Amino acid sequence: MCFDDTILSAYFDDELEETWKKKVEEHLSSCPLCSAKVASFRNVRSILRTYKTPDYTFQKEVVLERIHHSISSEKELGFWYRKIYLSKTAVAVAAVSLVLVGLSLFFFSTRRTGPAAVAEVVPVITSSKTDVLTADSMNSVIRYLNSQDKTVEITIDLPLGHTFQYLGEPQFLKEADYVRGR
Amino acid sequence: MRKNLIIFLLLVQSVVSVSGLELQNALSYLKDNILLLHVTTNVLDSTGKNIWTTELSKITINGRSVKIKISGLNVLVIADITPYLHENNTILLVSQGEVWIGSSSSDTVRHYATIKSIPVNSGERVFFFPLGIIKASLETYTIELEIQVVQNPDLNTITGVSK
Repeated sequence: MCFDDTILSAYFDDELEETWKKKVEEHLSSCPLCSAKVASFRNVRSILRTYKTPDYTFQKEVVLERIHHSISSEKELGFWYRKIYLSKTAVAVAAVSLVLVGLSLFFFSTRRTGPAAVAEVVPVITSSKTDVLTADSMNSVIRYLNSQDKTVEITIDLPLGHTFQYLGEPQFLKEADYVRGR
Repeated sequence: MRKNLIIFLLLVQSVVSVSGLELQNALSYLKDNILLLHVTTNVLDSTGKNIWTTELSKITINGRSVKIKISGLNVLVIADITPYLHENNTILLVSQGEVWIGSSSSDTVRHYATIKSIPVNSGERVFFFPLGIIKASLETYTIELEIQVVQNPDLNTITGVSK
């Protein structure tokens, strides 16, 4: 009498007691049918041992993410409400570098302007000494221009003791069109 | 809190850099477009001899007029010079002249006015004769204004303008 598949499978998995194990072994030595079944079990085992388990890492991550998302009690926060975690050192370095960059830009942009100085017009008579402008900064020019109205005005007092008379129409002439004394 | 600090610093930095660049650009533009109006006022006798002179300079910019007021015993001259820069580095001088002159023989005061647009190169001189050009036969004096506009002058060598 042949054993059923359950007992043969248990025998193959070495799960039977010693008494039953000996009985099955005696039967297998004389029963080609049951021996064939055990052989098929062995064949299946060898096939399964060579079978590689698929990599389910990605699927696991997707599933875990969905789980986290579903159980998360916090709502999705906008950019301005998200928390940013930075170390104090990083914040300090960023702040100092920003301030330094800003100050350097400001310094270099205003360095040329130099100290404030206002250029004033001083009429110079030929016989007196001639003043020399050392306006090395554009700041003085800007202040000078701002100190004036839209029209820059010059006032010259002619020497006393001379009276003038009308000689002809007022004329503007280019240098090339005029030679003094002619 | 940290985020607010970072945003504040970024804003400060951007404002400082933008204002600095704008100021730098403005200064650069101003420096390239500055004009020096040099005026020499001469009193000439009938032979053309210069018997009195005074020089002065004014710094101006494109389109900003310079008004020259000359006052004497019986004369008042106002010359209004507006320089306009052209693309080909020439300067258009829009020159207005007004003269009030009192007669010694009567109480009347005459008024004359003229206007002329004169294209000049930088440094080229323009003469203004508010009372007309003197003739050798007349024993009198006249006023001559030499006007010279220089583009982008060397500010360190300008005479007649004190710091």
